[in-house]
Amino acid sequence: MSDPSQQPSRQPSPRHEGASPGARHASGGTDELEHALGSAPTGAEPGGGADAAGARPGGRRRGPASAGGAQGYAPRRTLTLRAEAARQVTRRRTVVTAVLLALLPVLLVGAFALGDGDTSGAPDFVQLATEGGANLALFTLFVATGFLIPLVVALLCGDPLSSEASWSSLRYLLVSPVPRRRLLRSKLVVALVSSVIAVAELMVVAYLLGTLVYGADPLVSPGGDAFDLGEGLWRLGVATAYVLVSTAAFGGFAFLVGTRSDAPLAAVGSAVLLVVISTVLDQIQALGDLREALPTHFQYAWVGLFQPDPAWDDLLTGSLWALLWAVVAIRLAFWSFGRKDVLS
Amino acid sequence: MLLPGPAAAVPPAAPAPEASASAGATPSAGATADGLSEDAAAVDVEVLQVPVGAEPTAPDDEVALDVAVYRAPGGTDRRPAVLLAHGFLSDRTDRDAQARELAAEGFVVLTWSARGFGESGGLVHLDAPDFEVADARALVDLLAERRDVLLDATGDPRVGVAGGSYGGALALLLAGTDDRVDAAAAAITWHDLAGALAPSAVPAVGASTPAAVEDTEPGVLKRAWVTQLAAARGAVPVAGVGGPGGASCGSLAPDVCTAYLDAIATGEVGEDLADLLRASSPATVLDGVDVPVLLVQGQQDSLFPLSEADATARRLAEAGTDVRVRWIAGGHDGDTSGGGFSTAEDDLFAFLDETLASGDAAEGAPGFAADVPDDDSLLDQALSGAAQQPGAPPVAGPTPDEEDREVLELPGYPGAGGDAGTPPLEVRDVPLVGDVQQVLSPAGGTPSALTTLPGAGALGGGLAALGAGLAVLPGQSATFDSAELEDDVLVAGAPTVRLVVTSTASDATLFTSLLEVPSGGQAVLPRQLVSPVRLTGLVPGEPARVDVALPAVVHRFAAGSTMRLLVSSTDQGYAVPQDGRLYGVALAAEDAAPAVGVPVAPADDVVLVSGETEDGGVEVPWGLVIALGVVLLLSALLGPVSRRVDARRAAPATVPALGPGVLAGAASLEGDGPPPPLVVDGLALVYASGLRAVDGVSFTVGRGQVVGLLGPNGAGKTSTLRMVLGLVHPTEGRTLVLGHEVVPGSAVLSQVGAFVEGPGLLPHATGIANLRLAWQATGRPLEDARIDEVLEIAALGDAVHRPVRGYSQGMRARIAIAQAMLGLPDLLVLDEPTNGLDPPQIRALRDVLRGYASSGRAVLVSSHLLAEVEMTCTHAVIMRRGQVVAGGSLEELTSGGAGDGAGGTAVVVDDVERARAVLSRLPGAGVERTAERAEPSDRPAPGDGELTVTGAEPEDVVRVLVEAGVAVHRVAPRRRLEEVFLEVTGT
Repeated sequence: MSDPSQQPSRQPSPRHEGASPGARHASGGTDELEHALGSAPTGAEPGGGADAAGARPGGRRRGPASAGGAQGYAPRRTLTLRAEAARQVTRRRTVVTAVLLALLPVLLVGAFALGDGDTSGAPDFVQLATEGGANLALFTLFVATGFLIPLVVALLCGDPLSSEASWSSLRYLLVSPVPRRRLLRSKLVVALVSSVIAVAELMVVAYLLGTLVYGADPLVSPGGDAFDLGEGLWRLGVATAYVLVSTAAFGGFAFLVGTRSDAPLAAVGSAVLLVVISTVLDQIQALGDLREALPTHFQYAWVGLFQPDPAWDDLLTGSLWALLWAVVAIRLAFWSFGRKDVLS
Repeated sequence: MLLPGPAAAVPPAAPAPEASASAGATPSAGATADGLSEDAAAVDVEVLQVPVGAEPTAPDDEVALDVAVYRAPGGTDRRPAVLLAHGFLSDRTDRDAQARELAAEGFVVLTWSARGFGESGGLVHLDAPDFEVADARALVDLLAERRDVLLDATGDPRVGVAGGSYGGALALLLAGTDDRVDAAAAAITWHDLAGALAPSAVPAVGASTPAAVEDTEPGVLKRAWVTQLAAARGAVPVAGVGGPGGASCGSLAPDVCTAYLDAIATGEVGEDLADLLRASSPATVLDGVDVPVLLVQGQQDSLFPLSEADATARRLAEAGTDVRVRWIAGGHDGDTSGGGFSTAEDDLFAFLDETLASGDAAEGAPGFAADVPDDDSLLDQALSGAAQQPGAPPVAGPTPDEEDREVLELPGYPGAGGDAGTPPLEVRDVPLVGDVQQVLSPAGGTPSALTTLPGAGALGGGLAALGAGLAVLPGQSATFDSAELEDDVLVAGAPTVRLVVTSTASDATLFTSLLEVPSGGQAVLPRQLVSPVRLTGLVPGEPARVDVALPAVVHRFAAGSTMRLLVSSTDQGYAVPQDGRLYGVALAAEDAAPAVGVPVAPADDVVLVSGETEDGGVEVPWGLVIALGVVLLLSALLGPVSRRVDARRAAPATVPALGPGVLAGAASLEGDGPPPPLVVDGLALVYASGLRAVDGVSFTVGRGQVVGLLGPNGAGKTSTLRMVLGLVHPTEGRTLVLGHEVVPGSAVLSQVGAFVEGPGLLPHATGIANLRLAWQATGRPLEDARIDEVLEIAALGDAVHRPVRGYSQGMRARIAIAQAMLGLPDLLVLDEPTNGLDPPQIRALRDVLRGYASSGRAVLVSSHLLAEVEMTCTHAVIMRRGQVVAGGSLEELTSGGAGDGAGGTAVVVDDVERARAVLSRLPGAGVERTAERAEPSDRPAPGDGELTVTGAEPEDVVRVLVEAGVAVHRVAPRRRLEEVFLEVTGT
């Protein structure tokens, strides 16, 4: 038998029949569909209409990537932030994260209540934690800065894309089609916003709970400086914002790994590994000033805010390093995902 | 007698290896020490051995000093020189950092280890004129011979001398005995060593300087200090050794050693020692000092208090010498960094620059400046220092350097220099009240009040935190209080008070101090200092009047607090009488109401000096800012570039130039009709290994067609579908959907519904929520989704309201197929859609697909169920090893080629029902209505139909039909699709 692919088809090309009568094939359970199909090409006749016309010779007004879309389709309207948020918000990990973050201050208060009140150690954050709401918030930030917040941010940034890949829903999003750049943009924005919300939730719960339990007392720093409530909250806000900015490096890294891996665990785990490695390298004095580039080096620079004259230098340097890493990682993520073959 | 303070605690750099006097530049081991500027680290260091006078105990052995000369590289110009002397208990390496900074400023700097210290030979003579001072003169000779040192005259170099403590006294002694010295700077050092080690503080008569204290003899030995200093050089009292046992003297010279040990044993300074100490005192040579002098004295210093510098400054000012005074917050009990210059190090540099190099007075440099300590911050420092635990995260506490500090600044030293000079500070009389009080001096001198620990710099704050509690022992102290102060009083200097003392012995030893008692708070002993006074020649029981000078401090007594005069009989740091006695202490009140006279600093002259961040604001790391800017810029630029690259790859394809490899539907491309739903044109996918997974696949899916994509496992079906959907970039070829080329994210994909390689659903969402979320992602209006209609197809019933994670495989497949059909796209691409479906569902799906295509849309379905394809599809494309091996309408595929009749005979007739009746009478024949697959246009007339007859020869079939009068349009042998498949795939 000769290779049919070498022969022009003898079959006359099907013409555009529009809603051809399909009643001959009607059987049992498909009446509804037949009805639906019969009325389907109302606004957009298949192959007809403006979109198809745009594809004919001389109809090159629109770019190739945007041409030929279905009626009502526009790349700018795909996977809106709202749509992405809807995909994420009902997830179990979102709920669990939110609950755990709200529980942490409760656990702290419980631990303080259980303790024997022995504060012979030192007038540091720990001892001051029970001074008032602002101090509990300060202490919470202190204990969360090192690991918890990087972990949560890495989860929120690294998981959305890789979990879509692991559910196989990523390819369906892409053939919706959601342009890849837009997909990343929406995922990234929602991840960053939810990171901000998560950390803000932690701090607000800590502050409110502390105020409820210990009173709305002024903030007292370990150096013995007292800030009135307005001043203290302002500094707490800046410190929280700084922690978020400095954690952006981990978020960006997790996001990058998330575009390369189908396993959410890999994305989050590699960011956690980065935290550990960075912390270890930071201990090596011989590295000298090179350590400033480590994403954990300036992690605690916000502590300098809680003295009468805030020390901004480290905050600025730390923020710039973190932003630098984050921008590089996110840029790489966009670059690599745009060229990736999506197999999952 | 500088003890290792915080700065000196750093292990000194290893002395450079021995080098001859002609040795060239030798890089120092300390060059990379932290905190040095680049210029300072680049300074050349020359290490020399300089021979000086021999020790009297070994007149034949030459003593060599270990000397280092620092010079900034470059140039052959002559530069002014500086001799930098080190403190007690250290050596020249201690001055390394300071020497480098000075050298970088343009000086030739010479540091050396004094005899008895470091690598130098000889013994310690306590800055004796014949030894240490003579050595220093030899070093000036050395400088005079150097070709890089500026000369005022032949043999007279331009040289300044600076040092702290032990080195400070040397600086003054050298300046007083060598005319070649052009400037001297002395920090935390003594005026009269005998008085400093055994003081008895009474106000200096006729002096109006703020800390004018005279040390009368005999004084009260600072036993703790003397013991510590002697022991530090290896001199310890050894039981049974009366004289200078060689081993028990360490590096102290025998005469010094003997006198010291004697003093420690007796608690008295003997004549021998007094003579020795006097000879080593700047007081004896001050008349010879006629060069500018900078005096820096520490407020936190129980060894050499402010009154020492006061006496020197007073003497120099009287002689008309240019003298500047700094009272820094540190001292032997506190900060001894910078060789004792501490916070006044900048003043030292400016002073040397002015007096030796530029001659310009530093702008706004006052003649007198005193740090006003902030007691709260001292306390905080002490507490937070103690709080820091090892391993705890770094807590960035405020460091003194970075904080603003208050400084009292006056144009000259107040009260010195006669009428032309700065007027003396106002002395305010603060009335005190208190009855006569009995003070016990216990036998053996214990228990003793505890005020300060000698040299306990790090602990000094800690003691301050204890307050004055241990300074006031019940029964051993008398207190006299003032009324509450109406205003803040900034005391700057030594207050004086007149007491009436009665003793049960012929002498009395008392310690006085002025405490601040905050309202409702704990008493504070400023700087932990007490001032001893010793009265002799008393008649037991007879009251004696005595003026005493209290410790000189700079301390702000806050408004609302009270001043408390404390008179006690013991102090841990001093030698006190060993026999028990009782003193009566009262305020003298003959002429006026009893009062303490305190020198008060004018508040207007206290200025705020900002710390390190003097330039204000934040130091911006511009390198990082620029790096971030560059990265952002690159990102912004690369974005459009990569988009343009993508766009070029997706060149518009309005008229597809298809080669001969087109299968079905090519005609429509040539005509003016609408483009077909799908054209696959030469697609190839080549892996990095060179494997051609898909190799030049071309086919067309026309409207109304249900095209089956068939092939054995690994034929490239799924890879082809992935490329069709823009999920995988093809190596070659392209895909056109409705005439538009597909690239990742092409808008035309919105006209395509897909179900590839299994469902992709959000497990936490319900079935219907999955459909909604999927549609939401497209951004199209909800009413276009037809959710209700596709739900009918899925036929999941109430299960659509349950989360997908609980679905069976078939349920997932059905919801996923429904998802693919959302919006009823023009092209439906289904990959193995029947997986997981049961036969009734497969049948229902078959009807759905045929109905779908018949409405003018198109379906591309891959499957391995040949029977299923045969019943569902109108066309089929068969792939093998990445290539299309057969394609066309099902009719063509099954009828073409040499049929053996096993598949039966297909006939197209005008009257189907009649033909069926006729044929069924043929023996052994099976008749069946062929599935509707051809286009309606293929039929000659309505009512026509095709029948497949099996079990009969074609000629029999035609004969029977013709006999029955049925019109036969076409007769063809019919094969099963399976047959075709096996044939073309070669299996």
